[in-house]
Amino acid sequence: MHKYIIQRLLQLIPVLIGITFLSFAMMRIAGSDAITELYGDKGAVSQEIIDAKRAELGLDKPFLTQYVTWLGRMLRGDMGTSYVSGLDVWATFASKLPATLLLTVLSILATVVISIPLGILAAVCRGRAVDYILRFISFIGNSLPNFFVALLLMHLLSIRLKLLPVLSNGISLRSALMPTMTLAIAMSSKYMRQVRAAVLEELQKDYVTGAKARGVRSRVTLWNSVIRSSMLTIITLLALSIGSLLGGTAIIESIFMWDGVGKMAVDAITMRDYPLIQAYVVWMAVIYVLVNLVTDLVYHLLDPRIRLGVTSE
Amino acid sequence: MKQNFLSDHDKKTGHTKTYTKNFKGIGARKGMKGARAGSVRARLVFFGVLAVLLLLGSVFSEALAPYDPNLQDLANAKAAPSAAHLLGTDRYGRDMLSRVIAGSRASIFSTLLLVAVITAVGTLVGVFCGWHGKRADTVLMRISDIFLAFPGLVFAMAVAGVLGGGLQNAIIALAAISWPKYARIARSQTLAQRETAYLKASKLAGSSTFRIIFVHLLPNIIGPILVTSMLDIGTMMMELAGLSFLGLGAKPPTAEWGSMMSDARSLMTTAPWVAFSPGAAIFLSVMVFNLLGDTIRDYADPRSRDL
Repeated sequence: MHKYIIQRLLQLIPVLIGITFLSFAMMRIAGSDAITELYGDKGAVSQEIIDAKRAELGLDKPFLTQYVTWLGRMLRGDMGTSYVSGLDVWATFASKLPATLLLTVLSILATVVISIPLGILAAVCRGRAVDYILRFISFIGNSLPNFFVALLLMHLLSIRLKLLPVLSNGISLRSALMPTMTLAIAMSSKYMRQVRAAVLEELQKDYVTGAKARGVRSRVTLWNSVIRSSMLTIITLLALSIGSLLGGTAIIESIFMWDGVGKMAVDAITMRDYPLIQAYVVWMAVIYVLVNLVTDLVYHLLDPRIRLGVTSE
Repeated sequence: MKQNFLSDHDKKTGHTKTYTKNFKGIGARKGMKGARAGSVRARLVFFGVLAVLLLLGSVFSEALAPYDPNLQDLANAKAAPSAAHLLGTDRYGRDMLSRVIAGSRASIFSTLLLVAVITAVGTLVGVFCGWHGKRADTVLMRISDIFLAFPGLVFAMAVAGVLGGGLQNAIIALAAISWPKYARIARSQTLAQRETAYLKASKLAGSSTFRIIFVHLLPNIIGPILVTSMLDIGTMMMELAGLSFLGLGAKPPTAEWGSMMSDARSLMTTAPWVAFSPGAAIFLSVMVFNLLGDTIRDYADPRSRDL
């Protein structure tokens, strides 16, 4: 088990190198750097100052040198300072993380609470009115872009009913409510469908008929076997959602002025703030590897028949 | 065991497996019993016609718009919906109905173009990998792993940001991150077909590789790929609008639904209709294409129905 975990964590290294190199290369190909974004290209600032600043940030060096320097520093725990704000990248990043974590936890909780019971209900009542209504709702939810949902909620809850503040003022449960609802609406619609499909697929298996023939109550079969086995599919999907939520939902965070990593990434990308973008990319790669690892471990816990891919144990 | 079976791609799309597994090809409808087959066909025609109308509308949007979508009329700025301006006007007094119609070109037409391109490119790469195998296969599939690993929109944002915004660059960004999904499907389909008798027969008969692939292999594997791309149109439309919403897509004054909504954010208290009409336009178009995609899937794969 430990061997397996270590083996998987070692995979992080090639992923990290590959992905940071890719993003490094992409940003350099772009042609404009943080300096042109900072001073504009109208010639308001003399060329000497621009060159001096470039040299200070090391942007005049060859591409590979820049990358190796950055990699070496990162391995020593130094992510550098932001080109734009001049603040320490690690500190900036750490200050944005709690907001994103809070939003992730809340919206996943809301999604699980809404979509799993409703999905199971729809599967059990297949072909009846409840099923059609739930499927209709999830279809509508699937076709609504989340920024539209956000604006609708804003209009309804803040402007019409004046229940909630329009934009978040700091990180509190109250201001987290609208972004959470927006994310939960979109994700629940998606998962309701998936839960329904997973439960239906399981319900059609022979053992269900067998249990029924032997007189086992259908409720018992449903709770003890069907739901338990269909959760495997659901957990995989949820894990992927957690992964992308931890990356920050750029659109939702910027609509609600929620000060998380997604909004930070958009700002960093528009300003070409390389060190900040790199920190974000590293974060995403770490999440990716960890989420996949945790998913596989949960698989193993839920269904011990699934072997972990260990070569020597 | 199951762990090896579920690739990252399967994890990501979830539904892909369901219908590639059950896929029977378009001809499967013949086996279906009358009433249901008929109703699926009726739905197919209905949503197909709606989708074609939307597409035509987007191509001829200039002729359909009652006003010039970029004509400013500051005296009539932020006017509520009325007989003269059915959907009201925005902050510069531009007619919202005309802007929503004009925006369909950037949204609907571009999305269809995007989906067509990634389907073609992804399929070709996938078939090449599956057929040729060896080193090129390994390299291309590792690349596609990296793309599939990251949450799509984050990557698209980065690419669009690097390329410097603009609708064209947003489309390139989305294309760059979306092709691997198609390559994966095409590759697995090709691998499944490679050793079949009809392809071997064709090879023995002396057909060129080109002929084997394009005349024999492709028609047999294209079904699931096309279904996937039909189901993807709605998502792509939302992602493209999302990029524009973030300011990484269409730039003002180009009428595009996502950027129109982004622009309307500050008018939420005074003129909410400016945000609602493009939003409703995205919603309705995505819904039409989603319904069409679902129907095509049902038509091609009767067993996936109700799932």
